[in-house]
Amino acid sequence: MHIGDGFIPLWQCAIYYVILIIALYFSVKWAKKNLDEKRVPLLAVLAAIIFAIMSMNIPIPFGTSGHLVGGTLIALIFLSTEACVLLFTAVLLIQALLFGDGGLTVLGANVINMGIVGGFVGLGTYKLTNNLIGKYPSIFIAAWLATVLAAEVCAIELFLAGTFPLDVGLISMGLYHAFIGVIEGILTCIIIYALEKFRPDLLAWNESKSNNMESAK
Amino acid sequence: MELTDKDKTLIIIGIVICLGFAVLSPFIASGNPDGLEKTAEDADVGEDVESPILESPFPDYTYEPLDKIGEIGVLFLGAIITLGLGFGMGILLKKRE
Repeated sequence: MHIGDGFIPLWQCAIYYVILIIALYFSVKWAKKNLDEKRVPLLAVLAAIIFAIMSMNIPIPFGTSGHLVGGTLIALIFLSTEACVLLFTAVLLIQALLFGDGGLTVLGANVINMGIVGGFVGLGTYKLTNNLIGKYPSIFIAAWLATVLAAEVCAIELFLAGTFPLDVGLISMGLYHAFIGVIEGILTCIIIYALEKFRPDLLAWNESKSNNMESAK
Repeated sequence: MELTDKDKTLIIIGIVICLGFAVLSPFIASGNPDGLEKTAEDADVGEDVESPILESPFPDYTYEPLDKIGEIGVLFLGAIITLGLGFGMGILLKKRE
């Protein structure tokens, strides 16, 4: 879902950058209040893994391919969209600067799509559905919906940019990412399952449980 | 910052996972266009619309002189750089007790 330079006119890129800067301001504030030192290695390792995993494109129907983005994953691990903004700004910046994957002028839009929309929709959907349908179905739906909605937001941005016609953009992006979202859903579930099994202490939602156990002693 | 043994294990496992992807992706990752690229094709967006504003050192995750080894190398390098940036960011922005 990496938009390249040239796809969005510069004045719109500037607007997306302003949005990103505002999001970063709030994310830095969040980190200074909430980012425990013990979670710093996790943030760093996840950023690296997400960078690497984005290279593993998996073929999907219609002659296209997809890869894990990880917005919902990060948002659920940290229970925070702000963590997503920080992580995806770092990853997308490196991808744009060193590898030409995603443009620099469009970095704002890319972080908005993959980090902000991805994280916010993922976290929000999880919170809304988890008591209704259970944890892992909820994680799957959250990751899937985040992927599809991020793709549609991207389609709208590219329509506003005059690059995609609205109908083709929404239909194609929606259709392909409906399949890509399945990959995202499955992988997000697997990774969170692995963390629950081997390092449950790293998941923010286990925090209150361990605190309760401490105070109950 | 202090790294516990569990942290060190996490970092090592993370690096191993990144190495795994770096080695595998150049060989088994699909060459199909991603969702956005395919949509651009569907929308008849011309090849010349995309215009990078700078020349990246490893365009498209390649390092020409070293071919496949180059691809593996730059993916791993990128992961390590991201790891470093992630640490830098975390240490800089973390909660102050």
